[in-house]
Amino acid sequence: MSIVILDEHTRDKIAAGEVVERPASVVKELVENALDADAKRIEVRLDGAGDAITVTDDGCGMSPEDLSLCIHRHATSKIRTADDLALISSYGFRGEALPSIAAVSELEIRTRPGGSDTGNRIVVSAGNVIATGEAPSAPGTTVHVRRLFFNTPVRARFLRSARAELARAVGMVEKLALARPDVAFRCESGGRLVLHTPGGGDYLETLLALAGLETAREVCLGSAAVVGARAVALVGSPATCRADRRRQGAWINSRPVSVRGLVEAAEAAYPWGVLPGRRHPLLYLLMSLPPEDVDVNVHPAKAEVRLADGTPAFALAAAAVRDAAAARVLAGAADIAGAGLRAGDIAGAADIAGPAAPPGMQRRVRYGEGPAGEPGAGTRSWPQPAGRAGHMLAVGEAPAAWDLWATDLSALRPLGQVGASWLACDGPGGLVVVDQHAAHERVIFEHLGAGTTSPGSQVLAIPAAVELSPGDFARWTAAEEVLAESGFVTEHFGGTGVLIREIPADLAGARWSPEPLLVDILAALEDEARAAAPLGPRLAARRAVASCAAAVKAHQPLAGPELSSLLSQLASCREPWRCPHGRPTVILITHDELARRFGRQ
Amino acid sequence: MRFAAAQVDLVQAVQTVQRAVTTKSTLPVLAGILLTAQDEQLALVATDHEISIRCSAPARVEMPGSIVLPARYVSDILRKIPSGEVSCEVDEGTARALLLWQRSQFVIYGFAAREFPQLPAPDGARKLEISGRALRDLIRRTNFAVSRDDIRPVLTGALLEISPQRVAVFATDGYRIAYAHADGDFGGQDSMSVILPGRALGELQRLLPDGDERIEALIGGNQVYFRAGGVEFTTRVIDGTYPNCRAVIPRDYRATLQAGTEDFLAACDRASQIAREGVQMVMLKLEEGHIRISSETPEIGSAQEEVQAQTTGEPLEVAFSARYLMEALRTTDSDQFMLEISGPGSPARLRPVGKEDAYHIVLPIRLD
Repeated sequence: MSIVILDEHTRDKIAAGEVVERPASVVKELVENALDADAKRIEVRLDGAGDAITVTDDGCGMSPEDLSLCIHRHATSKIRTADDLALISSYGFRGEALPSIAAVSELEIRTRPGGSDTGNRIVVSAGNVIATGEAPSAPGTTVHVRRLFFNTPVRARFLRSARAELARAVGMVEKLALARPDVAFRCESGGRLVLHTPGGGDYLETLLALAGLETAREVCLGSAAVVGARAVALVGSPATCRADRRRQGAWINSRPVSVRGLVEAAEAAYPWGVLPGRRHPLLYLLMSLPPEDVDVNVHPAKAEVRLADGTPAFALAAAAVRDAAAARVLAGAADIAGAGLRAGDIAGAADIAGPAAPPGMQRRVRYGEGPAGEPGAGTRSWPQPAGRAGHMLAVGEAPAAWDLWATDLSALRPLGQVGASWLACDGPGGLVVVDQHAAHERVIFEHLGAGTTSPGSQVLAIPAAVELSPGDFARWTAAEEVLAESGFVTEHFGGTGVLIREIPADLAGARWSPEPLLVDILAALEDEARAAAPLGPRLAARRAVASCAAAVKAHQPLAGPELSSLLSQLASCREPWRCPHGRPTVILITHDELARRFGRQ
Repeated sequence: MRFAAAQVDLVQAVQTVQRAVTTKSTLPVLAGILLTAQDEQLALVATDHEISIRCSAPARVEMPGSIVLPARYVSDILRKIPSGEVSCEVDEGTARALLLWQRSQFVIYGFAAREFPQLPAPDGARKLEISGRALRDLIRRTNFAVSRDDIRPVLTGALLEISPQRVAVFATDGYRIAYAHADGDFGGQDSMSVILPGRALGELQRLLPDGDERIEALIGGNQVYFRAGGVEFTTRVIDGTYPNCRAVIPRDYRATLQAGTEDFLAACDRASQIAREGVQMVMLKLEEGHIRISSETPEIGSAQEEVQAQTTGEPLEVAFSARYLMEALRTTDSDQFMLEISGPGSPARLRPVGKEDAYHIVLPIRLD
């Protein structure tokens, strides 16, 4: 077979594969183009399995000439020469996005530049221009992608389920929206509004819109800057911790990127010590770095960037996290509302590092007046944030969680039991109230659920017979084996009776009888099976065993040493703040709150 | 009612009955002590419906009568006044007591005696006579094993098996069993058994004289009455069928070990420090001439102890809760003990060497 130079169509398809892997990458490219066009409002509509995507912006639009050029490879408004690559501050620059998308879909662009009365459109299918001409359009640009990957069936086959692809695409919009709180985003998926941000420029407001109140109130904002570079960190309290890193991310110059070790470096500065069990808090890093420090031309989709040696990025990220954590000390409850850091504060204003240069005019941004290669050689100092560095979102009451997380549970002084259900304790931050049931659930859950080492099962001297309800008996029948694996050895004992022969060694003790333990497990099994449906009945049963073990029920009086013991056991938990069902185990009523309630403030 | 008595006598009597005072009852009068002056004696009674304690103090009674006074105040005041004579005048109509000593006078508000529940008269078909020390020892060696969860009420009590020549006690919380007996001449003709609340036995243990002095018990269908010295103690009986603990005792053993109680206890205690809180599991490995006690917790570390022991049978390796082993060892009352093991999932028996008056059944922790 002889060697030939591939024809243009084939080349386009190959190139398209690098940039456009899946619907989410199309969304990313189109939204970035919109941001490069200085849009203030961006709407994304996803339909079908993510193979129909519409992105509408109110940006500067394109002239008819630009419109016909834009679908050609390496046609870009954003750079002119190779030298410019070192100073990329716009999102796009390779001129690959639109042609790549056009090569693997049916694409229609309608656009109207600001100041012009008429709009234009172009229709492209698999890279071939089908139609051009004048067409009505609102100011800005609308890109409409249909039948994505219709001509690359292999690529199409590699896509995951429609739901997964849509979720990824929405996730991408989320990432972009968080990086640009100054732009209002709207995203509809399958006709449902799934995301919208106000575009007021406030990070916490944007986070509130994206992540919801529950999360946003647990988040603190901090920043750090040196000449030429700046970092803002959105850091969640330990309540936001998860086993995965899905709620972590880095943005450099408003571009969601992955940089090896950056988020990890920031997490290491997390003040609540190493989060045991490899749990990761919400942690978003928004950095602006001198463009010449950031090599984005590593990956066609720019997902991975390389940082220049000696970059202050890592130190800055850590400093911003520390600042966020310290913020809760600075932020008085009263003055934090609305004092959020604005977008302009971090980017050192978009005109420096932000990618907001209007298309059609490549903007070169230099740091100071020094020769290139000496970034930050001095003249420009970063504007200080309008608010204090670091605030918490004040929504409803001031969140006390941060004070609480800093509490050393084992150092609490138990005061006594309230209503036989709660433990009142004197803590450094105020009155700490522990839900004994939830706390105990957590303790047992970690003992059992840790699952790394089986605690073994205590053989009973006197096997315990228990008569089950028909429902419980049915659940027992289904779960018998898994129960045995968890150390709960039972056997049928006639009728709906069950004989308990062994129980998990952790749960053995004169205080807890095996019978209610089993009944609790079986009851919990129903809830858990539902909750853990995708995880399978096995795990459900295991978790049920754990949560069952809520042996110290509410309404059980506890004596002094038992109070202390529960507290110290809770303190030794990997994640003491929530019960396995996610309810809080501990709340803090701060001294301030107490003073306020007594009318002393 | 009017009487005078020595402060020391009053303090002692109040402290004796106070153990039966409850402040948790919905009946406020139960937070008080019933005082009755009669026949040159002051009788004191307290009850919480499960147990009741009655004792008396010598007094110079000028006018007989009775009143209920709040235990807490009476006890605190009496303890703080100087030794010497205290006199008390009671206005029964208003239920007020006036306490007088030296130049002080205190008024305490109480309840009328008629509000205090009538105590059941001592009755019981079966009589038991036993030395205070023997009964105390029986309770001490078993009562720790009763259950503290009232899901199975019978297990919150201990089983007393009474026959003319032997009193035996079983206690179990379902996880282990403690057994002890005393031989002697205990009176009576027939054999019977009764389940008494663990808490009541604990209080009785405190009240019993530590000597050969005989005490008397009357065992009835729903209460047992004890009389020890000047103190009368009544407890309710737990209704129900006690599990057959004897059936748990294995018939034969695959291995035994005999070792010094103190050495083994101390080694067990140390090894369990490394064991995970809550489980306190230790591994016992029987080897020729010694026993190896080990524990390991991934996050903490590991421990290994070796104790000299005579071992027989198979070289078994069995895990136990250190707590159950130690609680049993502390009450063997013997320098040497014997542990008989029937397998890693079967009951083991722990007993003193040279005595047959007690044993413990401890169940292993099964590991897979």
